[in-house]
Amino acid sequence: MSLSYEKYMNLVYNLNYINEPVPKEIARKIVSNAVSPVVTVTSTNTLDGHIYECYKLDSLYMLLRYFGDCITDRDQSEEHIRRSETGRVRSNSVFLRDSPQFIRFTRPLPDLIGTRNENDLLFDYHSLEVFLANYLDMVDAHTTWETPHSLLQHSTYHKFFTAAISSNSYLSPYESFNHPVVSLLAIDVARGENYDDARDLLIHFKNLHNSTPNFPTSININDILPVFLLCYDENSRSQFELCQALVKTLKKQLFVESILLPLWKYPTDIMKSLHQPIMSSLDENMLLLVQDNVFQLPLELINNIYDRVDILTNELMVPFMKRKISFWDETILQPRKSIFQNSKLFRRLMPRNNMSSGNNRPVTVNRDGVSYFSATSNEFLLRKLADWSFMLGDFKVAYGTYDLLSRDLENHFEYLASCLEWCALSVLMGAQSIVTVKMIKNDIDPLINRALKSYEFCALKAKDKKKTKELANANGVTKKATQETYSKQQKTLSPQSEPESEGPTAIVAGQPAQSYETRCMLLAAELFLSLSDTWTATPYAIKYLETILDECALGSLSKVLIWERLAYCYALRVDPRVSSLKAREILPTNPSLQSNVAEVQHVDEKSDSSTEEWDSSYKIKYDNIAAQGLSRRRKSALFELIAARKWSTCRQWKRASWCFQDIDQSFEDSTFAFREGLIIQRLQNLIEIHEGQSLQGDAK
Amino acid sequence: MPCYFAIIGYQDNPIYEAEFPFPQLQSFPPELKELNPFILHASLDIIDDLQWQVNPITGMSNTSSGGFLRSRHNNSNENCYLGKIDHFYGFPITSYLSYGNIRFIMIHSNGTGNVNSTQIDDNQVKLFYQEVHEMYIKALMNPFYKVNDPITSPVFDSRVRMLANKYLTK
Amino acid sequence: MVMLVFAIVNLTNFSVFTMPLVILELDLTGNERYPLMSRKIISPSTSVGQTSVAGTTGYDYTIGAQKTLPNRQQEDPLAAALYNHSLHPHARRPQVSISAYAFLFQEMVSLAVNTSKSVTEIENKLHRQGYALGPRLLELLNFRSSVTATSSRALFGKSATGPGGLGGPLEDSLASSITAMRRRDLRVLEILQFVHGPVWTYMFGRQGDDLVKSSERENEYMVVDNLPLLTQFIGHGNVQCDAFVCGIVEGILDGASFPCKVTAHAMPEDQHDRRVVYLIKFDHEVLQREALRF
Repeated sequence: MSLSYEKYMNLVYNLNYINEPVPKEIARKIVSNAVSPVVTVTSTNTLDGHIYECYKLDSLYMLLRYFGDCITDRDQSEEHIRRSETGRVRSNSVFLRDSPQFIRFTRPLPDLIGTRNENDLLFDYHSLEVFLANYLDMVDAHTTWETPHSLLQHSTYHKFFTAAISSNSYLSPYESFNHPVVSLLAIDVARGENYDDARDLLIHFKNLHNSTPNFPTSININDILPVFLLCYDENSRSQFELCQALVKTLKKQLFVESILLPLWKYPTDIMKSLHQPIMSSLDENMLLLVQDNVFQLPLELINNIYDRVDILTNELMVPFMKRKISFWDETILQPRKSIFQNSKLFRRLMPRNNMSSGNNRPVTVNRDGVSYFSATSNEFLLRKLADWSFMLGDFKVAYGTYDLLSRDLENHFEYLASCLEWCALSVLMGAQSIVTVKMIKNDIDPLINRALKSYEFCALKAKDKKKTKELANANGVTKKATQETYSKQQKTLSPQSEPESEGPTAIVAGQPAQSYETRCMLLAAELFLSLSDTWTATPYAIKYLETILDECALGSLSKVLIWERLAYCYALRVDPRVSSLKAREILPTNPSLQSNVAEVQHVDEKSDSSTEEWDSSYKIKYDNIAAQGLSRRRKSALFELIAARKWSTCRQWKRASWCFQDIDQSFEDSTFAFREGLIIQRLQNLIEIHEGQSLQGDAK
Repeated sequence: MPCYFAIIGYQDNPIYEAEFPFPQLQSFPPELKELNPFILHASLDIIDDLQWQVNPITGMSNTSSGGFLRSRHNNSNENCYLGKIDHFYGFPITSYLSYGNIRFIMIHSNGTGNVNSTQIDDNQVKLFYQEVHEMYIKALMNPFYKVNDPITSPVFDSRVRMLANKYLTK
Repeated sequence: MVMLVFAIVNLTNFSVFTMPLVILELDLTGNERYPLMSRKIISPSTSVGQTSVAGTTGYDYTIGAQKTLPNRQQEDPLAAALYNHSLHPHARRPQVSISAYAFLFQEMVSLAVNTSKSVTEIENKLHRQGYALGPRLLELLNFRSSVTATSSRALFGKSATGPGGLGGPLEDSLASSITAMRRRDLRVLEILQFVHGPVWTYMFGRQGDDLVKSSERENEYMVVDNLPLLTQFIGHGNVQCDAFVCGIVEGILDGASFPCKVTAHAMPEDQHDRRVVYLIKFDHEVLQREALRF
């Protein structure tokens, strides 16, 4: 059984897979997962209470979140139904029914809105660093010095990558990936809840935009599909019949579909532990790391839930999304295309207001003076069309729409940046096998550069605004706080020293845009690495990662991870022709060549002496001159060395030693590397000392 | 600016190394000093690649990272002096290939850690390399010297340092 | 081995005239591979204490880069002589007499014959002696051909003061007057033309008679010499004394990163009964690289 996506992401709990290779297309899977459709889970108090009694979980959401992520893998049930491997469609075909499908479960909308911060911050570098520190501590606790490390290194990086690019709870006004697609409304039939409770839930949900303070203008309740989830006891025939009747009434009266979930009364003899959800917000991740305990559920229930989730996505959610997409396509995209396609002149002639017809005030302005498009504006709907196409794997439509949209948004840098970013990413995701050097050079790279520039511009704008505000308030608190954050980022390595005092005030002006910029570069780098022609693609990945190191205020641990990644990038940078050469050499082919050699040797033997006497030890020795210069293994070794040194300054000795083991091999033949006073000697000594100490500590 | 110079042989083995502490005995910061040989070693990857390119100086820009920073004054089709081939933390690395593909390679730094102020004068550096090349050939003319062995002659050492003094101090 | 020393000296046309006779008495068959580089052997009279002064010890492989300042005063004149000679093509008399050449070669061959058990071993020894010259010729001839007429200033400047004279060690340099170095040869044909042309001219006073590509095998080339200069006084026998030239050619090609095997074959033709064909058989990787790169 090969290593599944979810097991890989939770590798530290599945150490028996440690020698497996990295799962295929891992970068695409993570990205798909990070932007997968969001399902909010709202449940009644009765249901939550019942769940707590039975399974010791606080709410239905806490239960369901274990079943998100890659739902087609059914990773946590025993009988693996691997449809994804049997009938895989070409990855660039429209609507990937058989490719792995991902969804995410989140808390109810009011919760999300309540925790949303005003700064439009994707993640802040500091909490990322704290998370990483905790995670590394945990890895440290689970492993020994001799644990095979290469897969673990990849997994750790991808964990970091996931944490940096995704956030479930954050509702961005500029993109709709985290905006809920489906709202799951759950009632407990077993505890006597009925039609009235369901109706109340729905009414409450439909009125959210009126009842919730600070409801974001970018979310339209009508674009969210409500679905009822009726939980009942499988052993009770009467409850089942009750549910059947309820489904019909709900459909007739409220026009809402329902799903039946037999949630209660399972034999507890076969329990199965659940692994951590992959896509959760940083805060949730952090909480889980601190708790570090494992939940168990009956196997049968797990299978049942997976079945229901399957129904939810394939029978309700995906058709709903497709309906919406084709509706928007007909009403907005096609008219736009037919009149204005590539005609800048004509567009300029049209008054701007006309373009966003149907809504008299498309742009709303918040109190900081940042303008937002409302959820019903054409611009945002187009964006949503593109985002949803992206989610469903229709990258062609996504690309076209982003491209079109980016021309409309030239004056709205926040929107433009994100639009350009995803435009580039949809090419990278969709056309992976056919991306050529020319495409990268002429299309993808300029798009990403433009996106980065726009983000930079946003950051500058935000800083300017902050400055003028500061001048008005005449206090220097923010600047001081900034310095504090920075110095703390440098120092903070253990969760104990986590400064609670730092509120949102400490957030550096312009950091929101910077966090997007970082995400954009991380995403681009990782997707470039996943391209098949690594020789042409890796330089771009390297470029972005180096820019991150140079420009972003990442914490030191995050930086080391990126150094380590750089080493990996360079290791990947091998000309494909060379790798094929090597493959050919292994095969004992070319019999003609060998006979040639034999012939020549025969010519040499003019006397009875054998050719073995010929001493060629004085000849200059080369190894594989054909491949000379077509790989970057020495570069890779250098970066690994730097990573090892940085791990040691972060006092992550086990990590340093893992890196060091690889370095040791690559410098085996070079005597100069082991001279006194050079870094290898120093590191070797340091690592030996700390390894000894930790082993002693373990013995005690 | 202090420079770290090395001549690298066929098996990536240094056959001569020197640090030029110019001016005023300025030296590399210790964290770089312990890394210098490895930085050079890593740059060999780039040299190997350039070695077989028809126009290593102009062909650089699209094949390797860091190419955009290269100076372009050198429009002749020479392929011994490779110019700036790489950089590390903003320290430029220049290189030169002898006819026997012995690699001459050097990290230039200004010793202050100020990344942007390190500029290299291609003409001077090229002349330095040519002179060292000549000196290397002279060392090679010694019948007791075997190709690819370390050059231990104090005279060679002293001459190379004099050349560095002449061309690399500014 | 003593003969080898002279062979190199003459063939590279670079006489180390200051070389003390002491060297001839050294046992060079041992592990001492480059005693001239170590000052102790060249001038044993120099006080030992001086060697520890910074800047006089030279590069130490086990220590690595050192930061010292140049130290002209401490230079040993004997050791420095090597570095004071000009590499200029006209700096020395370009020719040695054929008789001296032949006597020397005769000594080399007989040394090889007397110390070997088989024909292969004899040829191997000659080959080895030639091989050591290859990389040196490669560097020297290419460097010299970079020197143009305008840059011969350095030669005349030097001849006025004499070798190692008052002009200071750096004044004599040819390199500073070179505006453009000759290009390195990247392709098989380029490097073969270099061997066939400049190398042959330098060694034998004329170009090779022919340069042929094998019609049967991709990686084989032949340099034809109708009248080999070196072995013209040696009769036909089962020892191929041109193995020495094979060694030189192989050394040049190996040094330029075109690993190959070179063998000599006597192939008399109508008018040239001493005609020798040097068969150059490149490693397969050379062709692979050529296919990848060009």
